[in-house]
Amino acid sequence: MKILYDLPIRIKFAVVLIPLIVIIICFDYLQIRHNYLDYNDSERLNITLKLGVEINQAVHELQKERSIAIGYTSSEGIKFLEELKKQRSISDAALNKFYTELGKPETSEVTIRHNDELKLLQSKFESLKGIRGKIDKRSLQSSQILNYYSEINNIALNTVDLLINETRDKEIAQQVHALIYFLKAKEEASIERAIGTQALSSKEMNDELYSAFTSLVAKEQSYIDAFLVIADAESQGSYSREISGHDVEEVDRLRNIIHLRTTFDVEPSYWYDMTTSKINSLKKVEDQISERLLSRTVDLSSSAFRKFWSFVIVDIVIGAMAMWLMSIIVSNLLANVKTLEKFTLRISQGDWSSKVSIPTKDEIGQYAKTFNVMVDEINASHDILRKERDKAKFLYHNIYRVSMLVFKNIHQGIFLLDRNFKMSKLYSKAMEKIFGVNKIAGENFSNFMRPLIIPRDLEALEMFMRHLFNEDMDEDVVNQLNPIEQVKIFNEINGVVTTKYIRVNFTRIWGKNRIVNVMVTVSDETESVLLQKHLEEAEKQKKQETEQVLSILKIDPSVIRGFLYNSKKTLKSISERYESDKESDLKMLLDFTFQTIHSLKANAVVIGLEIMSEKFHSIEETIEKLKAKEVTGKDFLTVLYEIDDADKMIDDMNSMLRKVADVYRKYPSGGSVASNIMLVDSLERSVKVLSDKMDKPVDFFFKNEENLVLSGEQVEQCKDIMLQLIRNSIKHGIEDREVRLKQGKLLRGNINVELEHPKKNTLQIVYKDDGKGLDVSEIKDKAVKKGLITDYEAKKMTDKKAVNLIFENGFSTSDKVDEHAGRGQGMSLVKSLIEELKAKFKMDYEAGKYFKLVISLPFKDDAGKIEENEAIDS
Amino acid sequence: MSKKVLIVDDSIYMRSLVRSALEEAGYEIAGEAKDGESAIDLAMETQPDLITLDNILPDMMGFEVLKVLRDEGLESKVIMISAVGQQTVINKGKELGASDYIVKPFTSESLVEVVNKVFA
Repeated sequence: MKILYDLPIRIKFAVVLIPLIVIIICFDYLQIRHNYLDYNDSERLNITLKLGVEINQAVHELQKERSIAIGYTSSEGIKFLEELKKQRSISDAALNKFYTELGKPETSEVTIRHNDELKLLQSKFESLKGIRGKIDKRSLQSSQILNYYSEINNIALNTVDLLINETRDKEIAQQVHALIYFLKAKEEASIERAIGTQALSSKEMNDELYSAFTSLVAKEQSYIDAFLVIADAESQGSYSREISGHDVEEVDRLRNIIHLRTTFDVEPSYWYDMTTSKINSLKKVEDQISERLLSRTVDLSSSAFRKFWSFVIVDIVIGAMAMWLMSIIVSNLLANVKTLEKFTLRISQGDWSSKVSIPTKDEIGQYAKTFNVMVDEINASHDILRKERDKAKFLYHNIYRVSMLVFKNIHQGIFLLDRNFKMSKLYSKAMEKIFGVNKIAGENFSNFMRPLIIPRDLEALEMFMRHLFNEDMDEDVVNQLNPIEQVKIFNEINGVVTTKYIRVNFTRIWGKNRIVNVMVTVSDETESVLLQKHLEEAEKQKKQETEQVLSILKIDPSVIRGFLYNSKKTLKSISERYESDKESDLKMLLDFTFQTIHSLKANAVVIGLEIMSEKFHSIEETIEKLKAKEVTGKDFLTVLYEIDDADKMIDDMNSMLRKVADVYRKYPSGGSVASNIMLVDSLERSVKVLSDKMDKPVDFFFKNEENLVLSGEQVEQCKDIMLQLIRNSIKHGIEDREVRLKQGKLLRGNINVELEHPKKNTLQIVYKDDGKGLDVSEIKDKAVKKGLITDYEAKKMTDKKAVNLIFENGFSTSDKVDEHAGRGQGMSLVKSLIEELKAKFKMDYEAGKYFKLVISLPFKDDAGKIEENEAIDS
Repeated sequence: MSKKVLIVDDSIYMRSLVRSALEEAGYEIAGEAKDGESAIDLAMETQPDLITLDNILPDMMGFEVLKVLRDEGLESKVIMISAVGQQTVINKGKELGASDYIVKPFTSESLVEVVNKVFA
């Protein structure tokens, strides 16, 4: 069953139609065959009937011949001689007609099946000659004659029966049977005639003959009865019409006479004539029946023929039409189905563009329309889907992808927290970098932070997160509680613990009336924090450097250079002492260090190098702290460190100084002017610093009416000279305020420096203070003390000579070592510097009034002036 | 005791044929009737053992005669004699109690055979 269901439609059609067509064709074939057989049958019947008619005719004549022959024999050859001869020729003619009919080709064709019977019949007919000869010789008795002829007739009639009793038409078959009964009745009648003739001729009738006669008549009547029962109305009509009248009644009358067997007073010829007349009537009826059968077979054959052809034609026409209609409908159906199939196939392959077109209005057409509607709808929804997809794509490309890109590349850590404090699956790549872990998605945030921050912050964080998701609390207020807004985290990467400064911000994300998530942003601020620190340090450094520069710029470079040189040497001497005197008393060493540093500090103060004095001061303080407790070797490390630091500072200042000097070298001409200005400035400052320190108010006056400029080398040397002179003046020359007031001097002392141009190629620097001048006895005492001269020499020495002692090496007027008085250099230094300049000097003084020193320098007039102009221009 | 037979036939030749055949076979002929009415009368009168009843009679059909006889209570055996092609008539006779039938034309021997069979 399933095989049938699964067949393709065209095969299904074939399964339904082909058996139907086969059945119709078979039916048609049977019909045609039936008609053909009918036709054939009636044709054959026609032919056999014709042959039968001829046989009947022959039988009819032989019946007559039999009767005549019996009459002839019974009358001892007296009667019927002529009639016998006549009848024999008639019989022969009838037999010839039978042979002619038999010889016809169509007849032999039809009778082929009955050849045996026909041959037998022919042999019987041929045996007639012998019988006739015997009759002529009168060697045969009547009964023998009867038997011979009857046998021939019987065979003839049986042959007729066989020949014609072969039709399929029931009606005709019945009439054929009626005819056969009739023929048999006629044969009996003929025998009756013969017996009657015999009996009447011999005027006697034995029992045997009588019985035969009665039986004959009964038989005849039985056959007639049977004939009348089955014959059609026309045959019955023919019978009742023909078998009536005088001759028939006479036969009945004569038959009754014979049957009564009382008297045979009847002329046999009369019996013969009457019976012959009746038999002729019977023959007529027979002929009529045969005629009708013949015509009916002709009708039948022609109708069968007509039917056959009309059936064939109608069959062909209807068959052709049916086939035509079937082929049109089936091919249309199949084509439609094929179209649908192709269409659905196309659709299944994803081609939605075309529509199916089936113009028929049947179910398939409806399906096609429905399909089209469906396809339209699917197309429409496809379009919508495509648009949605494009939208989604657009969104992906423009938003999601961008977000992902942002997430990947942004330096901030970003993720979402849900209400269970779980971290979102999506988070920015920076998270992994900042925290150095990959396990972020889905982690509980407080667990995540646990190893990174201190427990107190963690507790605060948990509380803070609960507040974050509390819709009743204001976001700004909650955010003020953020414990990790800026926090230091420690994480371990490959065993190395690193410190990071991170900033974590929380932003609420609202759903409907509810905080769904909190967006957390994490920024790594380590670098900026470190940078800030670095900046602070750099700032400090810069400040230091600036101060250094400023100090350098303020102070005479040679002074600084000298100071730095001395300081470095002194510091080195401390280090050396530390190394060599490890065994010595630590306390002593500390004291020594303190004094040394203290004197360095004093020097720095004197030259106004605040940065250095501060540094030395801080060392002093460190040492001061150490002094208070028991000193150990270790403690010196801090001191040494500080000293080292100071040493570095000195190096820095040296390099700075070199840089400044480089600047000067770059602008050598302009440098002089600047140096001159700086010289004045530096001198002025020195005066101010020293006077403040000594608590001796001193004013500094500088006079350069001709705008004279010292050369670079001269400036350096002059500055050193001047500084030395100023130091001496303020320290020794200018009196304390009380002394000055007593002597009636101005409270404020003053120092004058004047540049003069007294003659060509000479520049004169005039230094003058209004102090107490030189104290000769004091100088002599000191010189004696220092061992420069003896007491004796001192008493003898003139004042002029004595004052020159101050220029001696090793002469120092101050007992105390302090930052202002230098290290016992003094006037000896001045003298040597003047000599270096190849200048001359002349000292002058008035005790209690002034001290004056005039230095004469070689000078190039022109150069100085040009330099000045250039300096102004630049 | 020989059986009595009533012969019913419209044809005298048939009646004499049947009579001679049966007499020769040793049956007693109770009588002959040439039509239905006389056949009924004769049958009721003679009460034969067997009736040979021709189907075609001048006044009525043989089976009608048989019906009347059966209605009257006659229990004689009956052999229907019929012309060729009257099968329906034979069937009717059998329904009404005919013992056998014979088709005309028949020979004396075949008739005697049938009659003997009926009495056997």
